[in-house]
Amino acid sequence: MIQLVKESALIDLLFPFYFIVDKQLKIIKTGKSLSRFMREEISFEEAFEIGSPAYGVEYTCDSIISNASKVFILSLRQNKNNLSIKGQFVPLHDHDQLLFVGSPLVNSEEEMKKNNLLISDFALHDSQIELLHQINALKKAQQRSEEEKIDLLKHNEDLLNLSRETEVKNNELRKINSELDNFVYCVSHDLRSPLLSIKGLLALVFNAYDLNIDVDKYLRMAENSINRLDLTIQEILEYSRNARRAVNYEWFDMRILALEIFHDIQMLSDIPLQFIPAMPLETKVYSDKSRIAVLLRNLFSNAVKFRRTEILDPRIGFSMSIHNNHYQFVVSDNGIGMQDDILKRIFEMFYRGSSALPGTGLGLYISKEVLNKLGGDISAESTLGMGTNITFTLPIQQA
Amino acid sequence: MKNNLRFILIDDDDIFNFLHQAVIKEVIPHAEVLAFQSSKGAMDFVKSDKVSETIFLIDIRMPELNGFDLIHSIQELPEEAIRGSRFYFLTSSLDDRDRARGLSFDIVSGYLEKPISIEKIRELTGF
Repeated sequence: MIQLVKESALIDLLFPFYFIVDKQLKIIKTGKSLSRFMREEISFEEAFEIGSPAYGVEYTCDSIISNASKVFILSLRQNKNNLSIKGQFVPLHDHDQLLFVGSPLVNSEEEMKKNNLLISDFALHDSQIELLHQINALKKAQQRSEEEKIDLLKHNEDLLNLSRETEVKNNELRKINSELDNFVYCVSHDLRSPLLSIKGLLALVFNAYDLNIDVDKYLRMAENSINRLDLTIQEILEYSRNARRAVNYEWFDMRILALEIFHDIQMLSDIPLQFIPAMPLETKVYSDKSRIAVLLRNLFSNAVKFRRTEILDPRIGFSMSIHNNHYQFVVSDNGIGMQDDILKRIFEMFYRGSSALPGTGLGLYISKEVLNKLGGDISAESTLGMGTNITFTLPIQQA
Repeated sequence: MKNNLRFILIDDDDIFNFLHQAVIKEVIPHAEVLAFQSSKGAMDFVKSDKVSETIFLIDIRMPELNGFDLIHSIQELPEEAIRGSRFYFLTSSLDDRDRARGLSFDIVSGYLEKPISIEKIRELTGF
């Protein structure tokens, strides 16, 4: 130890807070760290208050020497941050001097910072600094996990808000949907009602009077317009119905349904149409009957509408075949057919391939939408002047 | 079919009442046709008078009491009050829910679409 003191550079390195007092407890030397906190040439008692041992130590050399085996905690009187140092006294030079070797006593990094202490201010052997580091690391980890916890909570809350928002939006959408359904229903009814009364009155006129040929012609034209408008309203209603109403599966006989619909169309069109069904033995399917009825009505009435007027045997073919997991149906006609550039657009909304014939441009669009709803598919092939085949599929469903 | 056939038309749109009356008269000139513009008026009449052997043509969408409400009230009446009468909905509604609901009433014989045709009247009456 004596040797050490001579090499003040070394002792500075080992105990940067060391100091040496003489027999009168006058501080005669301070370590490089301690010297930052005090002037030299000051008495021990002026500089330090003995915090520990709490009793029995007086501010005399002899008293300190007799307690030299004890650990001292000295607080720096001139330091406003209550910095203390902890260490032991070692007698030097036949008890003429006392060497204090120790280290600052701090509990946290904050305290270190407050006193501008660096790691190099601590005694080289001081485990306190390592402990402090560990505590610090722990604290940081804790802080991180705390932050992560807060992040998670926040994230959770965000998700909860999102799902609440989604629910509100869903409810709004449901409400809008049902309102729209009602709206379309009311509008179609209120538009249709006066139209139908005009239609009825016209029928009355045609029935009751021998009309002048011009008057008859004009009234027939008016009747045509009314029928067209009525058809548009019906199709708009059909579209909205398909879009909004839930699919309603039931067993029904496809052959019978097709025959019924063909019958209805033939009654209306007043044309000697041939219907040629090619069906398998089993024609019962499990699907949405009212949607399939809409679909068949659209396809059959197209075949009627786009027939070749010059031929004597306009006909509609309807075939059904059963495959692995789906049914395939083909509606074929020997009508006017169409060119490829028209063919590829016929399933578009409001697309009309011909301005010569009445239509809304909705029929095939609705048909495609119906099959979308039912998990099926639709396609078309056509030869101009020869006829058109519309093929659609439906998944085979189990009840 | 009896010759003294009676019809009761209930429709808030008076043009339809006129039109349907004309169509009925076209088929059966001597038919008695009564028209009401509200369910309430029709109901008051049904309560005050025997309406046996009458064909009712009832619109569905009407203000205040609609056609369903009217059929509902008529169903509550004692059977002899409406003996031999037939009830039809006659509507411009395309809604299949209306059709299903209309046909779910025991006393309702059919669901007809406006405007009623001469053929339909012949079919209903056998004239």
